[in-house]
Amino acid sequence: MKAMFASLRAALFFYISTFTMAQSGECSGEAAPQQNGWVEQTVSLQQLLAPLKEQLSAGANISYDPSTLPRWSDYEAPKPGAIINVAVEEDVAIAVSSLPLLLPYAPLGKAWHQSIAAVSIHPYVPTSNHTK
Amino acid sequence: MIEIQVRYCTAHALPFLANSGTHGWNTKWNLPAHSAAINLQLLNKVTISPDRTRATIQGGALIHDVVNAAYNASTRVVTGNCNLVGHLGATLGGGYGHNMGLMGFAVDQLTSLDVVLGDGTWKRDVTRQSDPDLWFAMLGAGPNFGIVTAVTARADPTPQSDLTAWFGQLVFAPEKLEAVIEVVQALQLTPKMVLFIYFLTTGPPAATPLLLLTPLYHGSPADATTAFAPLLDLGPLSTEAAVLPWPRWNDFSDNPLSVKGGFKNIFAVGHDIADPATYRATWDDFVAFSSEPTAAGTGFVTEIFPHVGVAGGEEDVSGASFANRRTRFNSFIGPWYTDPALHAKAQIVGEAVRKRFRETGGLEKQLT
Repeated sequence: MKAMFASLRAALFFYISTFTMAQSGECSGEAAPQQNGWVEQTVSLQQLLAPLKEQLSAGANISYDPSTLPRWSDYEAPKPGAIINVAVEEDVAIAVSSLPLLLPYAPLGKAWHQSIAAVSIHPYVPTSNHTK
Repeated sequence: MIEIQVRYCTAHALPFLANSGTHGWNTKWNLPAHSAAINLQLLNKVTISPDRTRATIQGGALIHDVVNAAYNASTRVVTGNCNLVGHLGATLGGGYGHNMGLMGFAVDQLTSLDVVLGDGTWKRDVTRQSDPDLWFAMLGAGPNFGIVTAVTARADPTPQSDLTAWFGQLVFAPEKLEAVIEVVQALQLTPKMVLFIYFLTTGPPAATPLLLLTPLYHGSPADATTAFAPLLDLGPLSTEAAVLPWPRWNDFSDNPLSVKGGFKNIFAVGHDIADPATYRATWDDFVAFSSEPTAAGTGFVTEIFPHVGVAGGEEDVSGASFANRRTRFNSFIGPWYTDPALHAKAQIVGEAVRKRFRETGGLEKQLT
């Protein structure tokens, strides 16, 4: 598995190396040594979503308490770490723009950031099967 | 502004899930803790056009929001049957409900929609003509392609005095289950008829199993009792019936079925044949599971809607991806419990019930 991740990371770096290498500097937290142009940082959801909160409308808010959004069934229910309570329709577009994709091999609680293109390679595709 | 935010924010990658009613019973979310929910519940505005032929419904509106707005404006729209479920979640998956015999599936009522796509693009006034591929995808498989922030749907101006229905609650002795199912199989529903079959319990502590049928009829009590005479002639243990205004039609399904929390591992199945032996075996499974501690809320439901006019009639529905239009019976068993030790048993019961219905349901291709 490690080898696969290393391979993916190498492929990813090869891909993004053709793009701007500027650091975004948006994530704060402890920075690990630079690896092949990557900077690994441990970031919390609160840190990650702080800039988004400033862009949402006045009536919107972000909660980190899952009990504020109970589900009909707790059986294998999704447990998102953050709840973005949008207040106007444009908030949805802003939120989606902020959260469109996932690096599926990123360790929990960590985000890799280097360039805008870096996360556009592996879209997150949720598995949906209403009939199980 | 949105375009700028797309460029800026794609550096922060998180998986996300859109919520409205939070009733989806999918169990394959694959959503890690480092993720976010986009909660639409504050986007619950419903606006009826001055001529009452259009309803503009925001993405977070619940079914009772739509029902109340339309009823107060004296117009009819197609909604689902559980008040606290998100209207668009149900609609984008097809959307059957009490009014569909009169108007068709909810998904077929849509005339335009606003949707945020995966790259953050907010497309406004999407129609079949403007974006035929996106329209096809959204109408039937919408949750996989974007977050709908609002739709416009057809409405049928109707005086409140006509937005009423006869609603009955018929409790039968469990010994009559086979006879009831034989009648249900033979009963051809007209556009004004809706019929639900429930296996429920009286709740703790006794949790006595109940065989309950709830017929609904868009018309007078006299016409209703004629339409459902074959059932009434079987001699229910008790019969309660009343003419109810539209906002009250969902009362029964609201409590307790809409209550949040607990484990509900749902197994749904479509079928064209109601087989008495299949129902009997399912009844036995239901009785056994619902007698478990904490499982008295367990239920089994068959929902039966008329197909006259449902498949579009004269209307062309080929522009929508929703394909599950001709299933006569939509059934599900819902093991409902709070003790995690019952997970495995619930799974076994659910799979057994679904397998049984698939084997006897008369469908060559499974429709669920």
